Parts: sequence; C-alpha cells; structure tokens
Amino acid sequence: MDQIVDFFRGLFDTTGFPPRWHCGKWTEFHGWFYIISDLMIWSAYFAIPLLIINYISKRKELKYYKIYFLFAAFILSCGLTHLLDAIIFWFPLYRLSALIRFITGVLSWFTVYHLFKMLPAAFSLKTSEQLEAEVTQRIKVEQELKLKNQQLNEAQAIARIGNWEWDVTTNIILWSDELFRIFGFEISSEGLSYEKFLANIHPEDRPNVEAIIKQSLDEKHFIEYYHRLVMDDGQIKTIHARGEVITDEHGKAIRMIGTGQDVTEQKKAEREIIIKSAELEVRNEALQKFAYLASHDLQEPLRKIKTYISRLQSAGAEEIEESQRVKYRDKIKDAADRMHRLIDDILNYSRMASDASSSEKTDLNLILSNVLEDMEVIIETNKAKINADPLPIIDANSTQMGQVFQNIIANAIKFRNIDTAPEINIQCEDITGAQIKMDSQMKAHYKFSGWDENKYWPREKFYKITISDNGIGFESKFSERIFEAFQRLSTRTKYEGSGIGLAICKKIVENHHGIIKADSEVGKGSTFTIILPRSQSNFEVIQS
Amino acid sequence: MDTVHLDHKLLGILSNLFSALKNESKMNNEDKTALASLIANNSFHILLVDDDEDDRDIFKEAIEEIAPSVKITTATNGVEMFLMLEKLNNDLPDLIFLDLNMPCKNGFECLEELKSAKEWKDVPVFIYSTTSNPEQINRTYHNGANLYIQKPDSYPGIKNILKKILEFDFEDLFLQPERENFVFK
Repeated sequence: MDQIVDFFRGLFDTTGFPPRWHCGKWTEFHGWFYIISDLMIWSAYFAIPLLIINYISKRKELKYYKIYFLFAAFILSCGLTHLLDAIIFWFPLYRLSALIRFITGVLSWFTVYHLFKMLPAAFSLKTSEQLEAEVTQRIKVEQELKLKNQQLNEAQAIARIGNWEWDVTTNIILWSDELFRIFGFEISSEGLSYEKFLANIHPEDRPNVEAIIKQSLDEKHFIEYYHRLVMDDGQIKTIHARGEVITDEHGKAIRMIGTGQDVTEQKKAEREIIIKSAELEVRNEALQKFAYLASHDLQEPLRKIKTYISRLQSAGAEEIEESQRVKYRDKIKDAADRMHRLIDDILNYSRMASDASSSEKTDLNLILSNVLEDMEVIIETNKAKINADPLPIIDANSTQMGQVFQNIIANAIKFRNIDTAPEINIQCEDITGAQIKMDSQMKAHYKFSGWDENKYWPREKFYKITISDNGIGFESKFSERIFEAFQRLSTRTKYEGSGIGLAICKKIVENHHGIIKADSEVGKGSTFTIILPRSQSNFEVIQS
Repeated sequence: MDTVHLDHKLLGILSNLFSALKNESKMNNEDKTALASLIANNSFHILLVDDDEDDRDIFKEAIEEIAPSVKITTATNGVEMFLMLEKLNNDLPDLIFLDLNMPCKNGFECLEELKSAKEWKDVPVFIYSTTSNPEQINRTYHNGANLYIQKPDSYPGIKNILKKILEFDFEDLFLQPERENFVFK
C-alpha cells in the first residue's frame, strides 16, 4: 500500500533514477536515434487522433461513433508513452511513464473489448464494392423508372387518358400531365383543389358530377360517369371518368383514384353512327315502299296485257265483235307503252337517288328558257301563259334543275282548269340562312366549319322560288303525298303519267340540300315552293 | 271464340232480317238463301269501286257473261263511292267489291269508314286488289273486310272467281272467314 502511495506522491519525482543518457553506454548516435524515433512515433500518434476527431466531428451520421473516440484516445496514449520515453533521456519520469503505460494498456483492452463486441455488426456493413454495385443498380432502376414514367405519359397522351389521385382529407388532387392537358390547365406537380377541378366542367353537368362523386364517397364505390368540359376557346369535350374509392381500416373513404379519358371523338362517332343508322332506316323504309309501289304499278300494265290476251284467246272468243277486238289490241299496246314509260321513269328516279349531283354554276334563267322551248307544243296547244321573274345563278346540276322545272310546269298544265287558260307565275326572292336554320331537314347536311353554328348560318344565302298555277289544285291534306312516288291523286286514265314526276323533283331538290313543298286548295290552283342554297360548298355531299 | 260466335248469331239474325226485307222465298228447307235465287229475281246488286277503267270494264263484261241480271254500279274512288251510297240510301248494294290502291280515298280508308258507319257496316265488303302483301291483307282482315280476292290476271280467271262467288249462300256473304280462308282461292 505504502509503495502505491509513494508511487503517486513521487509521480513527477526524478530522484532515484539516472537520466537515460547516463544509464548504460549510449553513444550519441544510438541515443538520438532512439529519441528521434520516439518523437516521430509520438508526433504521428498525436496527429492521427486529431485527424480522427476532425473526421468524426464532420461526419456526425457515422455509425459506431464511440469506437472512433476510443481509437483516438488509445493512439494518443500510445503516443504519450513514446514521448515520455524520449523525455526520460533527460528527466527520468519512470513513475509517470508507468502510469501512462498502464492507462494505455487499459485503453487498449477497452478498445479490444469494444472491437470484439462490434465485430459482427462491422462484418454486416457493406463493403464499398457492394455499395458501389448497389448505387449502380439504383441508378439503373431510376433510369428505368424514368423511362417507364415517360412511356406512361406517352401512353396517356395517345389514349387521351389521364389519372388522378384525390386525398379526401387534404382536398388535394394530384394529376398526371395528360389530365392537365385534357382539362386545359397548366401542368403542375402540385395538386389541384376539388373546386378547381369543377371549374371547367360544363355548368349543366356540374351538379350531376358533384352528386355522383358524393354518392361514390357515401357508397365507397366509384360510379362511372361522363361529363363535358368547356375549354377556354369554347370547344366542348366529353370526358369519361372511372375510378376507385380507397378506405382506411375503419371503412372511412380517405382517397379516390381514377382516370379521366377524353372520349370526344368516340362520342362524336357514336352520335354519327346513331344518326346514320336512323337515316339508313328511313331510307330502307322508303326503298321498301318504293319497291312495293313500283312493283304494283309495274304489274298493272302486265296484268292488263295478260288479261286482254286471255280475253282474246278464251272460250267463246270467236263471238267477240271485230271492233271489240281492235279495242282489246289497243289496250294491250297502251299497257305496253305505259310499262315502257314507267320503267324509264323508275330508272331516272333511282339514278337521281344514287347520283350525288355534281354541281356547277348554273344560270336558272337559261335552264328555264330551255325547258319552255322543249315544251313549246304543249304550252301552245293549252294556250298556257308563263310569267317568270329573273332567276339566280346557283351551284346546281343543270340537267336535274331542268327536270324540276319541266315536271312542275307540265303538272300545272296537265292539271289545268278546263275553263280557263293555264297561267303559271314563277317568282324568286332572296332569303338568308338565319330565316331557315330552324329547318332540321336543311340543317341535317350542313357542314359547319366551327362549333358555333349561329355564326355560320346567317352567312348562307338561299333563294325561294315559287311556281304557282291556276289549275284544279288539290286538297291540302295531300301536300305531302303528292311527292311520294306512285301516289296519284287522280285516276290514271284521266291524267296520264307515271306518278313519279314530283318524287323526282323532290329527290333533286334534296340532293341540292333544298326543300320543296306544295300548297293548294281545290279549285284555287297550286303553289310549289322551292328553297335552294346559292352555294353547295358548306353542305356535305349526300351519299346514297 | 264466344264473341265470334255471338257475332255470327247477330249476323244470322241480321241476314234473316235482310232476306225478309227482300221478300225472298226460301229455296231450301234450311234457312239459307242461295244467291242464285236473288240473281234470278233481278234483285242482286254489286257495287264495284275501282279506279282502273279497264278493270271495271272487264269485271262488268265477266258478270254480264255469267249473270246478266246482276245489277252493277261502279265508282272510281272512295269519295265517289260514299256519294253513291248516300244517294242509294235505302237501296244499298248487296255486296261491295273494293279496290285498295286508289286516288283520293284509298281502299283502306273506305273500308274503315264503311265498317264504322252504322248505316253501312252491314254491307259485305270484298276486297278486290292486286296486292299480295300479307301486311295489307291483314289490315283489311282486321278492319272487317268479308273476303279478300286477289285480282286474277286472266279473263277466264276473273270469270271463274265471280262464278264461285255467285254460288255462295246469301248469308255467307256476311261472315268473315277464319284468317287462313280469308284470301279467296
């Protein structure tokens, strides 16, 4: 015990030991060699902890922080033992040297203990190669992710479909780029609010969209819906919305995810298909009716021919008087003529139905005068008087226009009042599209250059041509039926004709995107009104 | 079936009344009257409504050949027919032959009007048309036509059909046969 107390009391006491220079036979070289080596070790061992401490003070995130300090302390104390070894050449501080060596020993073992303890953990640490490989892998994955994201964006752009995610609790909606584009918003990585999302939705659809979303949230099941968007330029888009509601563990709706697809084109195509198939149905019906009536009217002369021939060949035919025979033969010839005429007219009519008229600038005055020239004989024999206003130049098929005038004028003369000479007045006035745009029949084939049809209609120019006569007229209830093929209002034998003339007129006028109608009263003459557009360029070609 | 049966009964009674009005003697022991007896008595009257002049002439010629004593009146369309019926008033025709495809008022319109007017609904109406369209035939059947005759396309054919019809019993004119027997063969 006394030795230990004495030891610490005389810790810095140099008496009792000679300085090392005087202990043994040191040559100068040997002594300084020893001293310098010790000082080199000490200075190095002093610098290393400084560097370590400097390192760890800057890398606070380092794992095993403590072991670095231990290492620093252990090296520092090692260094101190070497410094003392050098000092002992002059000052024999052997007690202090022993103490420092002891401290170094304790620190060394402490380090050994800690090293031993952290060894398994240290082994689990990744080597730099491993880390490097990992980083490389990560970069690769990131690139792939970027590529996939890009592909997704491209796919969304192609399909015009965007996706969104709505955090119900924060009321923030995250959108994909394409969805921003569809809605006409500036692309932003930050979310949109629900209110902003509603802003561009067509005002008429907004209540419905809100109701559906509310219902989806309530029922925790997304209900698919369509809505329209009004873009800044006034363009209308149709959007198809689909999605899913996500709930938390308590069954509360917390998120909604979904897609919005621009289906404007599809919807337009769908609508077109519906319109076209309706049109087709109407056409089919008309065709069936036409076929029925045509076959009926075609069979009539055939039946007559067969009947009269059978009459001339039947039993007891020898007793038929010669005058009667002649009559029967004439009937047969008449029937054959009728059939011939009918076939011509039917061909003419069907050609009209399938021929989308090739139109050119046509002077209707010229057309009318040609028609009147052709009809000279019939006009003169009936002493008919025809007065005509100056007529316009329009886009039309001149042959077909001629047929319209020819048919209507011939009708007026045919159905003349027996007591008065026929008088036919042809008048013409300008009308604007605004006046007739309510007419769905004309509108049907109008091709708008923009969505705002109200802007385009008033620019369209039309002509209203009326052809009125002082003939026998017809009951107003037949004003539609007279334009149907084979719908005679009078008996064939009284007024010759195939019953197809006005049907041809109607077809022609409709091919020119116009309207034809007839007004009349029995005994008060008839008026045919034809409305034709000046230009065909804003109308679709009618495909038959 | 019950209503059909009832109708037949009613028609039977009506036809009895009709024959009583005509002061007709009964040919057979049964209470049926062959048309032949009416015809022989110069008291059978047919109204033909057809816009086709040729068809009217041929029809008349055929009747003249088979049974010259049958009285034939003709109308060229529905409007004319009703004017004529109004004029005839109490001396209504015994049978109307009605064409379908006619101007002014077609056969369908005529049939509907005839069958819905109490003064005319009991006059038997035979459709006399070229149409073989089942839809149109059905329409006339449902509107109460008594028989459907498709216009034959030969003179002997016409004569043949008219001969058969003139061999009917008077009462049978008022019946409407089952649909499958409605088109006369």
